[in-house]
Amino acid sequence: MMLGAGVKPPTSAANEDPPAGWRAYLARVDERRAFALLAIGAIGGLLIAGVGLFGAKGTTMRGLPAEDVALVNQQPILTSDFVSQVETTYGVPFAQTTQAQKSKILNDMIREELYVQRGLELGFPSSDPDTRNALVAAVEQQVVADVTTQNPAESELAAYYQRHRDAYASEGVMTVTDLRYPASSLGALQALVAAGRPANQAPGGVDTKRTNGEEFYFAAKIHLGDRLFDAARILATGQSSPPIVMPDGVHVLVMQHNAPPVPLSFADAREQVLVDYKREAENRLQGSTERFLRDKADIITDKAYVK
Amino acid sequence: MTVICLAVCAAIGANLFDAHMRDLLLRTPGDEVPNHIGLVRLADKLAAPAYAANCAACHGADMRGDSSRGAPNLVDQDWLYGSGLVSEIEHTITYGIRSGNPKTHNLAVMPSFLHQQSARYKINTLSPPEMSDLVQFLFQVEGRPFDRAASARGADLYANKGACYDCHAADARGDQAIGAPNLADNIWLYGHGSRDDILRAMIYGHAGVCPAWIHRLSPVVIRALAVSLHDRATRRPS
Repeated sequence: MMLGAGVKPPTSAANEDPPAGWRAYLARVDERRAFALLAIGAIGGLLIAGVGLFGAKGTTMRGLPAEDVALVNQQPILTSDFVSQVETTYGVPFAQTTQAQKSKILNDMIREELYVQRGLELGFPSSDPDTRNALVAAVEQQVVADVTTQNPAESELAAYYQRHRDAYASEGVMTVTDLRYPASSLGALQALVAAGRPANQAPGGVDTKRTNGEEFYFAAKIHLGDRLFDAARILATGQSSPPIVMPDGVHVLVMQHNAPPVPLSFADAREQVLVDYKREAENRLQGSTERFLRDKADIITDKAYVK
Repeated sequence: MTVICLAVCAAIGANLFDAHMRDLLLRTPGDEVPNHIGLVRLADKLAAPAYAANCAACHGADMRGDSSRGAPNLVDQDWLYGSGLVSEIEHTITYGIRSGNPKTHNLAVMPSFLHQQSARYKINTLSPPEMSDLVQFLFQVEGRPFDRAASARGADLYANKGACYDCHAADARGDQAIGAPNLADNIWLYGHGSRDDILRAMIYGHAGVCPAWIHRLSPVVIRALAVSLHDRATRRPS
């Protein structure tokens, strides 16, 4: 390429003027300066590390996230928690509390957070029974939280109902009187029944008052005992039982009203089905969680106590 | 070129404004947000998809709940917990009801009066006639036709053996601090207040749940849902 008239040719570095002043100082190799800079850098680094190590502040976030009212060692205190705490403590809406009240609650919450963090540093989860119980309870609840709060599909519930249909029936109720006769009356009572007459027509029976008016089946079973209840549940309203020999005499049951349990339709039993379904799922989940934790844990036990 | 620059600037400006408004929605005290129409509109916009995805399954797309499942109506101004303040709704959404979260609402459940089966409550079981008497008492409290003698017995059970007053209050108007429903307002969480519905509650008990959303939704979406629900519940029909 030809250089035209009036075009200045490029100049090389060699043609430039030698540096002067501080430029000349920087351009010159100086061992003492290099050592001094190295020492300053090392001391500066050590100082920063020392402040970070002994200042115990860690890395801090300068700004406060919009949803938080405070950060304590980067652990947030939610504004919504703060508002709830203020309202719960003073029993009035947040807007009606004073600045002093709000300030007190916030300081209390910061104090609590500091103490919790200190408690963790001191290892309370390893040593304090109350802390350990609270942690176990919290984890148990957390494990089943999804099952507890999510509703299964209707088809799953219906299938569960079909599998456990026998468990869903209305509560049976009965009003029954338990008459007790002396053991010597057995023959007369049997003769009465053989003649086709109700056993309770025999004189001398004493109401044991074991039952108390209309009762649910389960209550009548507790009051009468298994044997008498089994005899009572098959009696129709108005019927009396044949004589039943018991250690304390001969019993005759008179049924005033008997409404046996009626199987419930899925629609009627749905809520109970949902409770049972969730309980079963929670138990399953608790079991599998414990198995998983045991599998991944390194547990060394005294063989004398392991089956 | 100028148009592209303007469009980019406009997009950046819109994003910055949106971020600023979200920040403002969170920084404004919850109970004051309803006074700012711009924030309420933003909350409605943020809440709509979150409600449809997470809440509608139980509370219905129209927010009117499902009494067959004990999912409350959210727009009837009858609040089970608290008095319907944004901060109270926000707490319920954040931590749920009997959700397993340690901060959840879980101070009381409706026990079964059939069996002594709850480790949490020592209750006196009730017989069928006693339950029937209590139903008559509740009919009277609600202003429905009732049997006078049975209601008198039911009132005694309510205040003594049944200890119903302990949660539902002496005047049967409930206690919103623990989520005990008002029994006198003809609003029923489960069923429609028929004799069988009330008996079922006494026989089997109730303990509804709502998940804690703290780990599933962002703080701004939770705030938006609380504001939006408050707005829907207090909005007068036009």
